[in-house]
Amino acid sequence: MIRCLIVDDEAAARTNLRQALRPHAHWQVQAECHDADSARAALDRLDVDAVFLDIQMPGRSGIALAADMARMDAPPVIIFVTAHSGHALSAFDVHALDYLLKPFDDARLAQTLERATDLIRLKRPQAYAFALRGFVGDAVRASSPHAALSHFTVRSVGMIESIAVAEVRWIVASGNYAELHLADRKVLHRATLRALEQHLDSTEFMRVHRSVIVRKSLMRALSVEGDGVYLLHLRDGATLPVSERHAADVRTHLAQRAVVG
Amino acid sequence: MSNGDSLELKLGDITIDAASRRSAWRVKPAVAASWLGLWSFLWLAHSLTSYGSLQRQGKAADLATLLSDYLWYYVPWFLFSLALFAFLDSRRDRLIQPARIVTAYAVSATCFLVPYLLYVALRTLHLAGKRPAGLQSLLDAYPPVFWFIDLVLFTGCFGAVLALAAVRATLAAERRQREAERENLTLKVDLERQRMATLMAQFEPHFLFNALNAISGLVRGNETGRAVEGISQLGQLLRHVLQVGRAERSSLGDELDFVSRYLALQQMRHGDRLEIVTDGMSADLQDIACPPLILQPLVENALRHGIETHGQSDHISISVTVSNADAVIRISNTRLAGKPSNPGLGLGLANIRDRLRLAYGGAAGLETGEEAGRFMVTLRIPVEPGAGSPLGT
Repeated sequence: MIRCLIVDDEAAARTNLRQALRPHAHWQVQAECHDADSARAALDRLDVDAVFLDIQMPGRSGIALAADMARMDAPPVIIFVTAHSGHALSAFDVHALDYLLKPFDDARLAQTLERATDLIRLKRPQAYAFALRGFVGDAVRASSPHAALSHFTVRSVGMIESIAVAEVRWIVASGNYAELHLADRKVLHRATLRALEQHLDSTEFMRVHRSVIVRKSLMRALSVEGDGVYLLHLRDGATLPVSERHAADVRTHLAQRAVVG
Repeated sequence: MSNGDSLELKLGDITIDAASRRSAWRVKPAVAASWLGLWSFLWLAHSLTSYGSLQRQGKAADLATLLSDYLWYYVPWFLFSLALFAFLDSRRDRLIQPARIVTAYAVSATCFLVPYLLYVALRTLHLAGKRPAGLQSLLDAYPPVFWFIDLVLFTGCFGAVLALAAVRATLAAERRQREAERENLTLKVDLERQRMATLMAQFEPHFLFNALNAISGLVRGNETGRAVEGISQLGQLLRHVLQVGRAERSSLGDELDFVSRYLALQQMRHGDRLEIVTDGMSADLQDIACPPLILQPLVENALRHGIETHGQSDHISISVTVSNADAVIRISNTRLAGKPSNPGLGLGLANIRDRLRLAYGGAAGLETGEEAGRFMVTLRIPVEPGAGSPLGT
């Protein structure tokens, strides 16, 4: 049994979600709220596991309520619901938060509910609160162009983990996932390379291939392997592909560093 | 108008122009250099030819003397052709008209040729060490055959300058036309771009997504009738946007229909919290032309700064009154005490004001104000008799 809250200023949107949840019998709607303040009051009053949270609402926004919840010791899992696509979506992905885009279909809802259920069953509220704080911090800093990520929150079945960006050596795209390569292991993170790139510090990381981002300080040399085929050699002996489009950038960076160092 | 009249007029014209539009008389250095080059060439050629023939005749000849002698004859021609060119060039718009050319010819003959002949005759006398004594002495010193040669030279020079000025005038006119065409094209592209931007801005995409989300809810709740109604309203909204997207004008009736559908969908989203009252709707409004999608931004603003800001129940009222001269549309919404009054409304209104100015000049108006706790926007557009709906719906 998962107890949840629906927060949306639109009656029709609340109805839609309530109706869509009906086939999922173990999801029980405890209350419906039409703004952030009444949701805050409901959270104090009720014990809930999950909150469906609309972002654009009169008065305080859904992000503001999420910021409140990030300060709770054991915040309920938030499923953001929004009609707005764009930058916010990449932030959800990077911080491993669940969201639904209006209008959504039943398959997408089922998938989201399943992911949320996993998270709730994990009972790792501190880790979740940490991820939420990362997201809220990003959302607040979003106006500043140099807002860079400090931690990834990585979720998969049966685990939620926080990984410091400082630990990441390079990142390789792999379908809908990104492989974060750390010193001793690699971790699968459900986010696109493009979303990650938007949240990484460009002075620390560099895109060298359609599917590779690498930490600049690890780059050692570039070699030409054949017609338009380049290889980047890292300090630890690893090699990564470099595309022709990025080869000039890599060369410039290596040359600059040679001059500086 | 007699010939004499027009001549007098033109003479008057020329004096005024010369005095008041000095800037138009400017000669570019390149033009001056070309004339200098041409006349220097003629001067050198003339001097050298004379030198050669004197030598062939076995007479004593000094090239330097010849050159300096002839220089005194050529400098006036150079100055004259330069001045004439500058003058003709300054009036290139009205150049190719026989009466004007004849006038210009007569005036330059009087102002240049007569003084020039006098100057040459006097100079010849002076060089011969004689003093001028009446017309006869001048004619003796510089016989009529030379006068005639100079007249021919003058006419040729005049013709050449006129031809050059005419060529330049034609080229300039062509360039102006090309520029005008290009400007026109740029303007058209700008207008088109602006229209597209307006269309995009009219219809905030989130509205579509939210409306579709609300319809999803109706479907999931098995409220088939209301869902189909919502889909139909949405379809008609989109159809209207696509249709008027290609038209300059819509009709007030169509725009009010559009706005009602838009509000019906908003009501579907917000339920009882949104109340809408209309007044003054009639079939006659179909015959009143107005710019497309001019009302929807006003209604959207009313919502955005009403129900979507304060979240309380909102009451939107739309009333239309039509007189012989104009149609007045008033849109008002509940303003909550203590809440900021419509932040960000300025930009939307500025856009609408621009479009009204494009369509009506100063004849239309848009005013905002507060009345009895309500925020009110008043749009006034002139009624153009006989202008029906271009969409013909």
